[in-house]
Order: sequence, then C-alpha cells, then structure tokens
Amino acid sequence: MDFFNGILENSSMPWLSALVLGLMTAISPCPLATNITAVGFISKDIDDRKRVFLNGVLYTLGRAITYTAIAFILYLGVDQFKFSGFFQRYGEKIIGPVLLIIGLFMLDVIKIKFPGMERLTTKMQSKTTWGKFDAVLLGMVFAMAFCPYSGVLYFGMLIPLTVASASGLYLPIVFALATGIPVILFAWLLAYSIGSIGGVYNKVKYFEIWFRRFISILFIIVGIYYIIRVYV
Amino acid sequence: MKSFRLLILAALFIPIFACNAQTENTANPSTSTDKVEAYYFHFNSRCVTCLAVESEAKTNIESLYGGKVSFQAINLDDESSKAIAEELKVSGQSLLIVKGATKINITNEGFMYARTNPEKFKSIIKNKVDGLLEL
Repeated sequence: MDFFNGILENSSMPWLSALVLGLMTAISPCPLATNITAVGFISKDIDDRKRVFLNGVLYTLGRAITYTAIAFILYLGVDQFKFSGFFQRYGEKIIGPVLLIIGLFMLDVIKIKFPGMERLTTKMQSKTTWGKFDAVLLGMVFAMAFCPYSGVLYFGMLIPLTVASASGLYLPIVFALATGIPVILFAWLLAYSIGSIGGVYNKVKYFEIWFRRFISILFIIVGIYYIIRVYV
Repeated sequence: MKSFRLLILAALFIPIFACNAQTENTANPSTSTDKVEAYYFHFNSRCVTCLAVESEAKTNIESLYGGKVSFQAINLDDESSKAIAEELKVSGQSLLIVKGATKINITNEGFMYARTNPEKFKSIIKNKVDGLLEL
C-alpha cells in the first residue's frame, strides 16, 4: 500500500491515479471476497481457457458499466449527498443476500424459476456453457458492492477526478480495468493449471461438475460472510 | 487576511478534491461559530483502515488540542445521525473539521496515511486545525 500511496501522491496523470485506485480496491480485504467469488464464477468453464479469459473480460466490462454509469450520473449533477450516500449505505448490505440466493439457486436448493435468475442458474447442472451476459451482469452487481474502504477510494478520490471535466469520464473504465485485472489473471492461472492436469477429456468434464458445485458453495459462504459483516 | 487564507485553503483543495473540500458559504445557525469541531462519520460495518482513521484522528486531536477541539464519531446507520449528516452534507464515511460555516474534508488524507504514515496524518490534522483556529 505504501507503494501505491507513493504513486498517488506524485501522480499528475489522472489515468495513472485511476489505475492505482483500482488496484488498491481490488486487493483491499473486503472487495477481495467478491473477487474470489468472481474468480470462481469466471473459471467455471474450466476446460476452455479462451472462454475463461473472455468471461474475465466480460466481467470487467460489467464493472466498467456500473462505475461509468455512477460517475456519469454524478457528472450530470445529481445530488451527490443522496446518490452516493445510497450506494455507500446499501451496497454492502445487498451483496450478501444476493450472493447467498445465487448460490442456493446454483445448487438447485431453491427451484422457483424467476425469469432473470434462470439465466444464472438453470445451466448450472447441464454442462452447456453459460451465457456471456451472466459475466457482464455479475460484474455490474459486484461493482455496486461498495465496502467502506473502496467507497472512499471511488467516491472520495476517483469521482472528484472524473467529474472535474467531461474528458475525465474515461477514468472509471481505467479504474474498472484495474479492479478486473487481478480477477482475470487468477481465473486464467487457475484454468491453465487445472486444465493441464486433467489430461483425459472425460476427467475434466467430471471435475467441472464438482468445480461448479464448489463455486455455488463459495457464493453461499461469501454471501454469509457479508451478511455477518453487515448485520451481526 | 482572513478571507485570503480561506481562499488559499480552498484553492489548494478544489483542484484535487473538487467535490469534497468545498467551503460552505451558508451560515450555519446550529453550530457555534467560534469552536473547531472534528467529526468522523462511519457506517455499521467498518474496515481496518476506517478504524485506524478514527482512532488516529481522535488521539491526535486530543493530544494536540485537549478540550479546545472536540472530536465526535457518528454512526450514519443510526437514525439519530440524520440531522447532523444532512447539515454537514455527509454522504459516506468522512473525516471533517468544522468551524462555523467552514468545513474541511480530510477523509482522503486519513485513508491514505492513518495506517501507513501516521506522522504525516498528524501533521495534516495539525495544519488544518491550526488554520481554522486562526480564522
């Protein structure tokens, strides 16, 4: 963190500041929990490394959409007091239950079919690849989960840089990239190492089913972690 | 001279933290104008850095100024905090130093230095509070 602070202090280039803020967000303990979940989710198509990489990019795109949208709305001059207060107050409180519910759906514990939820859950048991849109959606939702620390980094440091001028509106995209890069990297490493172990195709397929169950449980555990953090 | 200092202070902050460190021009009837007050706003869930910001700020202000500058930690998740949060236009975690209508936001400095460089954080607090005390 000292290293990042040093760059932040001396940086006269907004894009570098945005990059550093994004990396600081990615490695701070609270968003790390969502990142671990994201790594699991992204690497679910473990036998297809290209697909894992694509999922990672799409997930990052989702984050970029949320970060840019919030910045744009603030740039338009909406009441910052109410708007950013809402995210900082409720972001972390919503993410726990959301993760828990997604996890339960993926495990087929809950079987009610919601139109939106179906996308994220029904394909879990069948081995077909998941829709590309799911990764984007997950990125959008996870980006909204502002922890106390990441909230300050985003609303306190990145937004002032961004809304200072219209040309700053690319900064949330740089920020999102930086928050997504570690996730892409780990997912890809995971896919690369595991994919090369299971030499026989069938074994990989068998592994994949268990790996997906493991991801569902990961969602539930991380969801419970957030619920305990915020409500207990 | 007073307004000059105020201008310099504002000018120092506006380019860097445009939205955060604005000087409120509206007079504030409910806070006394001669006393410097420090506020730390937080939510129920708190990170390690957040706790460090609060404890460092509290210790520094108490040891530097004793009773001359008050320090208050306020939980934004409590209903009772609503009035003061709206009055000071606080939307999230913030560390503010307030004197009457003048409001200095040192949240970012707190989050950057409270854990990694407490001495620097202390000197920033001292600098800002001294500035306000002289007003």
